Amino acid sequence: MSSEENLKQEDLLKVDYKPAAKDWQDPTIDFEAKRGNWCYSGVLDSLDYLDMPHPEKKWAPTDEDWLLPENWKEIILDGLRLRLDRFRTLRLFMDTCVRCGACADKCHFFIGSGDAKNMPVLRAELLRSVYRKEYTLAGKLMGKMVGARELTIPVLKEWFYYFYQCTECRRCSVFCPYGIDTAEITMLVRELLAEVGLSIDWIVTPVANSFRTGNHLGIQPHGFVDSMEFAADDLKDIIGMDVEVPINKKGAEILFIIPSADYFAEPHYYTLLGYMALFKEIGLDYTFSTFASEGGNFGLFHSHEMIKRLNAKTYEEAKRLGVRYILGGECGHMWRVYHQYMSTMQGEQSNLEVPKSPITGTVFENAKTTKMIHIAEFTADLIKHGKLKLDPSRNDHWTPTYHDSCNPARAMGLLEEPRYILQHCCNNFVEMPDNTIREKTFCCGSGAGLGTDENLEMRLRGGLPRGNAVKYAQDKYNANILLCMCAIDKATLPAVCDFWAPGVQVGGVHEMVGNALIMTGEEERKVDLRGQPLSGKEGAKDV
Amino acid sequence: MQLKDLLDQKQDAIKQLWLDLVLKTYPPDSWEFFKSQKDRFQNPVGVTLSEQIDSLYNFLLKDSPDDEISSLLEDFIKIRVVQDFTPSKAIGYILYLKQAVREILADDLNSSDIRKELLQYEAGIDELLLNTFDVYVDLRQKLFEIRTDELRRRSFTALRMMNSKPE
Repeated sequence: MSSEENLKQEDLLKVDYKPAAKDWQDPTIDFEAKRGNWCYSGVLDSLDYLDMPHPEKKWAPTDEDWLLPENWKEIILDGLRLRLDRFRTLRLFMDTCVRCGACADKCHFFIGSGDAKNMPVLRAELLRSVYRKEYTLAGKLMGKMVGARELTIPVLKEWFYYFYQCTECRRCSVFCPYGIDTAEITMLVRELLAEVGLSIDWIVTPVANSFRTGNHLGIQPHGFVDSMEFAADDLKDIIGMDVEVPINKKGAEILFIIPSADYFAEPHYYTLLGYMALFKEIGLDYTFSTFASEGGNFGLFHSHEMIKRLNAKTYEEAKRLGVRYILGGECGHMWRVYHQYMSTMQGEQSNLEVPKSPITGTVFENAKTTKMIHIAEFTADLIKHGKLKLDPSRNDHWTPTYHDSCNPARAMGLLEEPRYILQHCCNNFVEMPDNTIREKTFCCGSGAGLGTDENLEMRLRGGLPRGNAVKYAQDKYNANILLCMCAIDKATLPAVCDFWAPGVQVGGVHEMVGNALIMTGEEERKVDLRGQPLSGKEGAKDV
Repeated sequence: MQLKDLLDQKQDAIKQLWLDLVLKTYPPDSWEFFKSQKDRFQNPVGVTLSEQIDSLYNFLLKDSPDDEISSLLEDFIKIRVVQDFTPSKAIGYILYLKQAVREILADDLNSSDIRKELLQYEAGIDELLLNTFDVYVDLRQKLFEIRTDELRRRSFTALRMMNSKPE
């Protein structure tokens, strides 16, 4: 073989693997090739139930024709104008970004995918470019040169693709020097998309179910009662005592609202057993409600109007039952709604009182407006006042680490309370690295209505930064359970852990409380709330 | 001098080129980030890739036992499995090592002995690609298991209630 021939071979091997740079303004998405990245469209029955606009038949993102109304562009632009007038924040977010890049590498979807349009700045730019074209002089005159884009059907499809690749976790806003909240931009774009019939089923069907029967799965009141009684029986098998579950009890002191997954899904269910054990032990005068049987509010992922429609039942039910205030369970986005929107949407609730713990006398001034407190605040206060007898060794089979669920952490600032509880209930609590927890926590990758099956690859890609930190805690400290305070986390982090850190389970804070809680009159505990033998009692039979 | 010595001496340059070639399978706006951010929690893709390139390079160089290979491959293949690649693109980055070696050792390949050794070395890379295919398929299978487990967890109470014995 001559050296010349060699050279030719070498030349053949010199392939340029670098993909051709694509202009960011090009909106084309090949939905067929991008399966695993997007979610199915909303079913018509659910949209009908909600009086939401939709085409005559169901469309799929892979269809060429999305069956938009003829005046779709007018609807979107009018809707954008309306929202620019209504929300000063939106106008500021459109105008103030200086593209400093502080947010660019903070999004879990960007970190996991490398897709530049997952950078919060560029995702927002997808809307901002249209805003510029329609509402700024420079954009009108100079168009593309100043990053202005015409609103076209491909642009609309690109919005659908990327704004349903944002979990509204708000990690990017922690790093933005101007405080631009990309989650708000995502929310408003989703509102606009819904107005021309574009929405995803994982959001609209839970919303329709919640609107009809009060919870995401559409469980009816008798089903709710059955589930609660079933849970009380399970708890009885573990603690050896009857547990009363008050439901729709008029005149109870406290209305307790939980995410519905707590009573139908695993591992949420063990947290439910934890709440029940706690309330029995302290003799709390509380009630569940079959009407307010869902803490979650997928309206948050759809539109402001939908948040309000679903949220209205909370105070209505508190009023109907005549309770003093509301206590809420371990949920994520539910708390963003309660903490940041409810009092504005529903107004002053003079029939309710500022929450006061009946056990410690602590008045929760922070909830003066909403009249609703988080169970982590409530339980941390009980522990602080020495009102609970706890045996943390009952959690010795666990080495827990704590995932700050985005909304309780970033929207509420609930950072210390869960840790305080865990430090008193567990001997082996460990933390993940600093830049992955507290207000810098990484999202599960499945929030804001994205926790469905058809986009699992995207969810796991988005869950990589979290899973990677869990793996570190597993390798370094032998962490074997990831605790969190969010029903979506509990539903989707098991997939994240099974993939990125196999062997790590997922659980709730009050599951650990229920395990550690020494209850008056209880039988000797042999198993935990999962029915697993406690450390040193491995011979015990699962219940 | 043998190929092995060359691969040892010039390993930094070869690994660097291999890394660059793999990073260029990502969009141009992001491969700089994957390359420059060294914090493993802020940049799990780039850091895991660098670590895998090191370990695979050593694996091929030292003729390590085959049973170690799956665990060496898994961390980065996991990432490729869920990223936006076709299966061939997801695992094909292993072959870029051939290009990196041929480019960096271009001046040394005139020797027929070295070329013979190179063929053998490249056969090792082909074998590695087949191992990668196995790991890739196992992980795709894992995704289906994760999907079904998720469905089961969602109907946990209903399934237990249906299966519970009447008293």
